Amino acid sequence: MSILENLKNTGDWSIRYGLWDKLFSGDHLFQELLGLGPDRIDNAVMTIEQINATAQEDDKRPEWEWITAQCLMTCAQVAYLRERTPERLLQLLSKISPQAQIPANLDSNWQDFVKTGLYHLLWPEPLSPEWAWDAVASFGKTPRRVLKRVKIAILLLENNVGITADLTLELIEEGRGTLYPNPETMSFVLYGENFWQSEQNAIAFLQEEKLWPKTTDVRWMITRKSHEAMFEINGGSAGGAFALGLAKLLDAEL
Amino acid sequence: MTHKRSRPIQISPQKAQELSKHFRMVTQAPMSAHLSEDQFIGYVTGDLNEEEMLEVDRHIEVCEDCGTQIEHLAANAMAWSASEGKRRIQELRKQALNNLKKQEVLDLSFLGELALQIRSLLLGTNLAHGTVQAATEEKKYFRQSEQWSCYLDIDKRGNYILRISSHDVNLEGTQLRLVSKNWQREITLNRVDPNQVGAKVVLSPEDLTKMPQGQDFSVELIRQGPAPE
Repeated sequence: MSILENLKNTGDWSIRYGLWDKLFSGDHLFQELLGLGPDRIDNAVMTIEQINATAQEDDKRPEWEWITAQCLMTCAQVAYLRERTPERLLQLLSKISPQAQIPANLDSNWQDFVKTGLYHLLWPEPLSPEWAWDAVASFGKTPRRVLKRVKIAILLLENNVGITADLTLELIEEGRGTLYPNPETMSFVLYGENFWQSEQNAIAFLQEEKLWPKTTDVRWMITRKSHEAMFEINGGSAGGAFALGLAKLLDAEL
Repeated sequence: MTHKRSRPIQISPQKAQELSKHFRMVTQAPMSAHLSEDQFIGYVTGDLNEEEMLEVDRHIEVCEDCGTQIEHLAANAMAWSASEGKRRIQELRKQALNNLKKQEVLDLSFLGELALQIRSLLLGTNLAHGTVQAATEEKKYFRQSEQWSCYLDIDKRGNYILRISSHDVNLEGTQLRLVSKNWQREITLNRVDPNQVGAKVVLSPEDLTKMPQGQDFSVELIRQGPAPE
């Protein structure tokens, strides 16, 4: 039985909020949404929103997690839309940003129309239009195409303990030169300031050196060698690994 | 309707003396006071001294309420005296002891069940090399029974979170002590839902190393119900 089904069926506080914690770790929410399809998505979103609304303060998700979850759920709703109209799309995107705007007329194919809508939206940091489009494409079973992939071993700090992990960088076609985390596995990982800064330094270096063509994106993910879910990443040493990995990934494109 | 005037009553000198004695006692007795509980019990059990007994005698002669109460007490006391009374007391004692034993068995199963659930969840953890693995990998992350439900999983900080809950809201405020080999933690069951009580226990990796696998885990009752104000 899935986490969402268990959540719906249990009346016990301990199990409900234990499962609730679990839903917001690793790729669990993503996998649950992926398994729903158009018939069940709206009910599932309603259930999740209701549980969060009725949770005691201590059981509510941290704000950044809840925002990420809402964005991920909206991406799934967009991907599963049956009523493919600009009004319905705008209604969904307005949940992310009340200022959302999309063209009034559907003058391109639906996929391009949705992509444009997502790219015009101001996504809450650290999420990005590329992250959202990747999620929508995955939920819609038309994942973004990977042109090339590199994997390098890195050492990270998690809860002040050193762990060995793999950094995977994937060159994605039809992009605009953006580095973004894999929405499937990295959405509920908390990045420390050092890590975030080192990633930005790596991007700045590659852009200064004009090594990164603006027609592709790079999707990254970090996985533990032990294959356990990542929770929090800290430490600045990842910056070097990002620079090295990106250079290796993009070199072939030059 | 006419009223007949009653004729004067003829009384003997003895009767007059008796009446006069009664009259004196009525004027001596405190009219508003009743016997105290100690006086009742002392009178029925014969524990009062002569003067105190006399005082009670005088009072009940003029106070109908206290007289009736003394009669009831005396009648009840009779039921518990002599050999028949002793037999009754022994029967009652036996019954009370049986009830106590039943209560102990109930408490044991009530808290023992919780201990068993927590222990089985902890057995799903792996502490090899000082690291903890999510019990969820073995699908052992929750336990349910009639009385309790428990959930154990690892959180984002690397701690285990143990949640305990019960639908018995009478347990609100109850304090329990979770005990393992070299570890113990006191918890209070609070209202976590309109119809449930529960507690969230954070177990650090250090806590888990103090409760090795296979070790007994027990739950003790510190206090049932909320703390007195």
